[in-house]
Amino acid sequence: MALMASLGMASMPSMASANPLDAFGFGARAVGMGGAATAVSTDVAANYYNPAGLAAGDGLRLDLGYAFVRPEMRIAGGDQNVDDSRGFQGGVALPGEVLGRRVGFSLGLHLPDERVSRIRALPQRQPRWVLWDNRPQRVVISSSLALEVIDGLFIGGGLTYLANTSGTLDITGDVGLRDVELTRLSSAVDVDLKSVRYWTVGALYRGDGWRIGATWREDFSLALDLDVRVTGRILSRPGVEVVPEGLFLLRSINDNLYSPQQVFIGGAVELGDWLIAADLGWLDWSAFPSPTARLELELELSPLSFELPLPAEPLDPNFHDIFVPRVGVEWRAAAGEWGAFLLRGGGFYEPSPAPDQPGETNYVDGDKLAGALGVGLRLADPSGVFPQPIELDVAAQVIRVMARTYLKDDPADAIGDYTADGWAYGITAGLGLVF
Amino acid sequence: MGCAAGGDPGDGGAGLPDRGFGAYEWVVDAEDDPITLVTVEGKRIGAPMAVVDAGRVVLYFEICADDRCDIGRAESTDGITFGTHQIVAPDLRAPYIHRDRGRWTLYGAHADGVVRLSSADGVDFGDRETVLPSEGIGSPSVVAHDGVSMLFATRVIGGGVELARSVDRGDGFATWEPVEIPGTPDGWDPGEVLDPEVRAATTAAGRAVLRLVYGGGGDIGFAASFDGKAWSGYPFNPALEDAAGPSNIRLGDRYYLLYATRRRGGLGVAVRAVENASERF
Repeated sequence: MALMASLGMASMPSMASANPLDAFGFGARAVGMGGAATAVSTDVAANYYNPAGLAAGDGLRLDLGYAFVRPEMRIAGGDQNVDDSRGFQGGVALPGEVLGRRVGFSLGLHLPDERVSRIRALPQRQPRWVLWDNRPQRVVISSSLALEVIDGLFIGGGLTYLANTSGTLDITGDVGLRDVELTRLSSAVDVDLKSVRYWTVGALYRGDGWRIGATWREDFSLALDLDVRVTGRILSRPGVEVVPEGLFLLRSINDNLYSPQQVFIGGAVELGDWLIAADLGWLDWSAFPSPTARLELELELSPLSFELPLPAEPLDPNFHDIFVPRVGVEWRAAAGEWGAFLLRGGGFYEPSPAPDQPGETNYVDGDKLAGALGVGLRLADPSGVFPQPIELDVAAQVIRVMARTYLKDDPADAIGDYTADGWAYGITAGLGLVF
Repeated sequence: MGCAAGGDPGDGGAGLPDRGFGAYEWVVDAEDDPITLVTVEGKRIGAPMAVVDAGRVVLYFEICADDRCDIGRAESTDGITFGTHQIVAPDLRAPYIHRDRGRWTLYGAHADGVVRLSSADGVDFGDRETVLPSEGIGSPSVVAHDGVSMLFATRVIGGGVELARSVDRGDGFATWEPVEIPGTPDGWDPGEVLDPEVRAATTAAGRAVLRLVYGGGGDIGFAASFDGKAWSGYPFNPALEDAAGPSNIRLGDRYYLLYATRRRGGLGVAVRAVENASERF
């Protein structure tokens, strides 16, 4: 069974967190530094990397950008046509002072230009790039609040709101056993988009030429529950009931779009024209629920006797926790009254949380090794409209998903052994205006 | 004919590996009947064994009249349209072709046992010898696997037919052991293995595996083994209904299942066309 739905999103402020930002980053500067930005970000990207940094910004700023990532993921040499992840990234950040302490507020946005979100439940037997299928396809609307609690120490946090979807299709009426003319059915649809919230909090300490930070992101699961309920009578002839109160209920329960709880700690030092940053993250993938829909069936046709076969329970995916190191560097290559020119580089290594797949499941994933390069321009505005330099940043990243071989215990397995690998190529560009 | 669920990609499954185990589609003629590849007037044709050689399908099969069978040969470039056949081995049935380093070895069943012939071109066979003098042996398959030669064949035991294996560890095919093929979880279990064809194959990850395609209960099913001893049935058997005497080949991104038609007394073919044929054999 394949199920795909595009879900409408309530555009209420929420916290930037999780995917696709987990997968590909947020903002050209952070992406160009390999995502090692927990102790570095003070712009709109801090909504994701560390909201505490928002209180350490330089002034009211507007960030506008675009991110594009093209995955090329293969299984047994066959391209799986994994969708691109692309969309607008940007927002506003408003640092200021209250009672002598720095504060910051920000709205951030990652808005895919193809899908707001996607949930697709596939049979657990069917191979799929489990962390690349739905995960990069979602909107992120963020708001964060940060403040300086003592000199140099900032804290921040926020909430994310997204919509769980639950719906019921009710069909009621009469069904003719032999005569279709006796069949009279009416239907009603009732669908709810219920909000789901999760937290992100962070802390940042800035010393003289160094800084450290930490961020915790709550786990998140987008559910899609669908019920189909058929009630009514079964008639053999007009007025003759074979089944006076029949019931068929099908419930599909689906925890599909998941992002794990995670903690990132990071540090950065400034050495002259150099800024060197490193992050280490822990991601709680062991809590990953099965991405396969669970089905519940109920059939009541008394006095007739029928038994429905019980659908198989999805197997536990048995993912494990992972640690993700990230490093990045930024070099101020040239500077003057005109502005500055910055070069950046970085990378990360993300081991796969997915175990081998010797049985029925085929949750495909591999270790990821990423490298990134970026450039930044800080251009002084001679007209004076912008008191701070205009910021132009571009970053390119390449993610190699290492080849992984899957061997099946069953020689007659429907899929059999295979090798999977992939690449992802991305580019992110941004314009920052500081007032 | 519908496709089995397992292994069929469905939505979101483009380019998935496909072993050629799943359901095959009839190739039908203008009257919507399964197509008949080869017929010979006044003769019974059966037991097809196909191999792919230099991009063409070479088909061997038995041609029978009364109590005698000969082995015929025909060629095709598309696996569906075959040219004129010729007799390549007289007085033999149930052909099995094994190729190794340019030599074609033809195994067949004879009243006296399993017979072997060899050829340089797959047409002119000679050096006929009996490699297994035993009565009641049928449908032999000989594969090289894990450094040894294995002979699979049906044999008559106690009035029934069973699939058996003999391993040549330097002393020839001296001893037999029965081979069990389990049924499928949903109950397809023909209870007998007829016309088995075993081939050595390589999975998409490069692991050696043995593929078995066989008839039983009027249908055709698949099984596989890593060692030739423990076999596992494909969970969505049967692959094709109302057919017998199967032979399985891969030609590009198509798997072909050649079979003995039950209604016309000839040879037919069914096809599984996929995006990513991943099994090499």
